[in-house]
Amino acid sequence: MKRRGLSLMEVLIAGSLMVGILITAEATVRYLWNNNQRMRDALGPRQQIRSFFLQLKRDLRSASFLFLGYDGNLMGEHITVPAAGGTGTALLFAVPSDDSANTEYTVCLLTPRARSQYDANNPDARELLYHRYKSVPSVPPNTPGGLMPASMAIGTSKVFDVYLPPGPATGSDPPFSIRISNNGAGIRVMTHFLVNPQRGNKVTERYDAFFTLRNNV
Amino acid sequence: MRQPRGATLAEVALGTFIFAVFSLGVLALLIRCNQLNHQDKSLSQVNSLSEGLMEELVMLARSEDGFQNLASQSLRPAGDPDYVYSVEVSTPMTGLKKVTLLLYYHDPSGSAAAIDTARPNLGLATCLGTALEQP
Repeated sequence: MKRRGLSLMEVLIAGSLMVGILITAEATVRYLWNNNQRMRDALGPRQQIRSFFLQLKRDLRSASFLFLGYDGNLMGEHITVPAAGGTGTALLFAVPSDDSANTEYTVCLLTPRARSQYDANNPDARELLYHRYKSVPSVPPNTPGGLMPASMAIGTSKVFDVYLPPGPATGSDPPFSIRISNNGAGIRVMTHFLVNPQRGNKVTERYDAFFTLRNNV
Repeated sequence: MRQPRGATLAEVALGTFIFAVFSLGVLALLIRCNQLNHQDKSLSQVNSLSEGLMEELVMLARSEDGFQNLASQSLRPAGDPDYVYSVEVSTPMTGLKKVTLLLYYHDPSGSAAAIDTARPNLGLATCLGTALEQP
């Protein structure tokens, strides 16, 4: 029996079906890809903020002194620590090694700075630098207020890549803010990260924490 | 030569069924991923918020007056519009207070301190407890 070719109508229908299936498949793959990308964009800064809060909680609970109102240059950044009842973006505090008469203190610095890795989609995003100077004894003993962070030997740094957008520390929803309680023993840390992904919508989440110094004098 | 035949209805139906099962599996995985991501975000917020509120109570109780004035608090906004909280304070023995903080999901259609009881656990997001010693 002689084989006949496909009619024009059959070719058109088959072509339309093929185009429809391809468009659907492409849209599905794109949706899955964007969704995965969006989740990764949100998970990164969120995990970094959680790690940052854990680190800060551990150190602040044993900290005995806050350098309230400190103003100066440290680790290449200009640092202004808020006074009691004030608001700012930097924190400087001393953690004693033990309760001995001539204990050594580890001074910790927290400040936001421009991200080390350039990202064309987030050119203004900031990261958090957390630096622990080498521990030193205070002179006279047990007076951490007499420590001079500017002249201390560099210790170890941790960087938390939390995608903080630029903006003032004041207001009800700042990108990053450190607020000291009136009695100087409580610290509220407010973070609100913003990631502009290569594709898709912006990812933004807010996390706040409050820490109480339990070892301060 | 034998004429090539097309697929039978049963073959097409079987192929479509296998494809549908595979697609639904992928879709379910995607939906579950989204749910887990949302839960992770919510849990992170609940943890940082509840610990922050508890830390504020700890800070207040570190002074003599603050410890004496530490008392139960009825439902109130938690700072984050998605949550409300209450505090229960008891004195199991002299010089010691047991503080329990209950964080609930806020019902935005209700009052400023309304609980979203439609959520699991009748809207209870988390419960934290600690014992505070008189300074």
